[in-house]
Amino acid sequence: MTSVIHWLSIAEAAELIAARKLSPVELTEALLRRIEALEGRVNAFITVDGDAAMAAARTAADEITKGVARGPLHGVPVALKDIFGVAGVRMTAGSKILAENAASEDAEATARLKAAGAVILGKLNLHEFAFGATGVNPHYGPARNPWDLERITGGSSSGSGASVASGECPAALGTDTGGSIRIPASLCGIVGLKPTYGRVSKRGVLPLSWSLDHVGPMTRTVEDAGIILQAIAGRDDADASTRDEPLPDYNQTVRVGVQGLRIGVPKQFFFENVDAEVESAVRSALSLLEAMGAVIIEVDAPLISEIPGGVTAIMLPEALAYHQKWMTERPDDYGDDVRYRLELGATFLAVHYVQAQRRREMAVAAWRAEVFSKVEMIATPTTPITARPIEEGDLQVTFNLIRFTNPLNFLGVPAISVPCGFTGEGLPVGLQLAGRWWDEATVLRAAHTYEQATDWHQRRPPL
Amino acid sequence: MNSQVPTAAPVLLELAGLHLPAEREAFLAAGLGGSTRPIAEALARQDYGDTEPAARFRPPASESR
Repeated sequence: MTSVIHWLSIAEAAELIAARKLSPVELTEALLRRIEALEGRVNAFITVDGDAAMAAARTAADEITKGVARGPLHGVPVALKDIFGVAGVRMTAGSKILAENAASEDAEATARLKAAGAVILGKLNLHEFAFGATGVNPHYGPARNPWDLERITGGSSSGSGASVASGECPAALGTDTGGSIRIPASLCGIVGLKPTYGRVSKRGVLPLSWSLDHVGPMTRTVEDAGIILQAIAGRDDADASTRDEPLPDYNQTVRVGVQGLRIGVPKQFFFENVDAEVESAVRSALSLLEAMGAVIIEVDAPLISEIPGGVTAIMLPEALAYHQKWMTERPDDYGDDVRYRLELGATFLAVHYVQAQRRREMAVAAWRAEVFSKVEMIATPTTPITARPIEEGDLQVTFNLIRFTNPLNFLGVPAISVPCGFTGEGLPVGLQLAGRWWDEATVLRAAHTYEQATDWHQRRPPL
Repeated sequence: MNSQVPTAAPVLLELAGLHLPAEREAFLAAGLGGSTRPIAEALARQDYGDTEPAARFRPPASESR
């Protein structure tokens, strides 16, 4: 077990809290001290809500003393990307436009975390309006990668990646429209899970693209990602995208192992133009999974050349539709890169949008028939590159960062990034595992089995 | 680049209620030519058959539920 409080995983903290060896107050105080010590360099938070966090920690401590048990998140601090509503708390979306905005109510995911006893530490930095993959924010400054403070975290859930990787909190919520959970997870050396589309309610989360947005956990261990997912998943009558699907006990299913599990390696697209060190780390991870009993099978990636364009033809018009009022009235208040993407959204016609939605149905049918009938999951690099210097710019870096993640938003399948190595420069590399619709359990199980056979998740950045 | 591209961008933005300052025209025209056009061409391939769009209207649940 980890001996330093701020590096405790959720599962470790929960065990200590249940045994009355650690109090939620002590844990929250330790993390607030860690945040105060690091934020000048890491810039992961936009708002730290220390008073509310301490009040929630004291409430949890009182409940636990009285014998109330809410589960593994009871008294455990988490933080939220600053597009999740927390009633009465500032919610900027990383923008100048919403700099003075406060949420009127909790997002459904926030409410479910609170009901599970979690302590909300504050709101995390992000790419402006979650519309970019670098995490470089012109209004609040870039969140900085804990492994090299001069490099990007990846985005858009940049502060979520930086805060978890730097030990400021054990878990954060992010959102993922084209890779915004998995990209910063990969670049920051943590775990990021994009669940199946509709597994987690998006109500109360500021949208980027309704058809492609997903909510999910970012943690330092796979087990913790399962704990968070367990708390936030499930149908929400007020979010029509959610569904009544069985919700397994991830704490049980995660430990089953990979014997006989069929893992597909795409023959096309997902290993093209990949940095040599990234490909080497991912191939080594596949060899280890095979040695542990998984069956590695090459598979085709049907319609893959058309999927990224389909994502763009859906995401950009939907984003512009949401932002149209502000883009009409306050265009100069957007950062250049986000404004450009929104303007580009106007160049797609309605027919492109509808055809892209039809193409999406075709892609789902093809992947169901030709891929997920043969394997339980596919494995790819999460990103073809590692963290780039902050000063490098946006467009080409973004294009590279999202290449292997955004097809899985189009398909809506669950996908996780789990650390699988480091480059010679000490930068993390992520392995992406993507499974069948609603089968997060198998994705978590494979990722956990791999993680426990390696020590990548135990390495700490040089802060 | 197609000669129509530089003039198309401001018109399309105007139809969306947006104003495109002259200094941004070239930048957006490049995006229209380099991103929108190839995507539009790919989506124009008519192999959809009977496939309906993925995004569908969802009526509210029955009152009797």
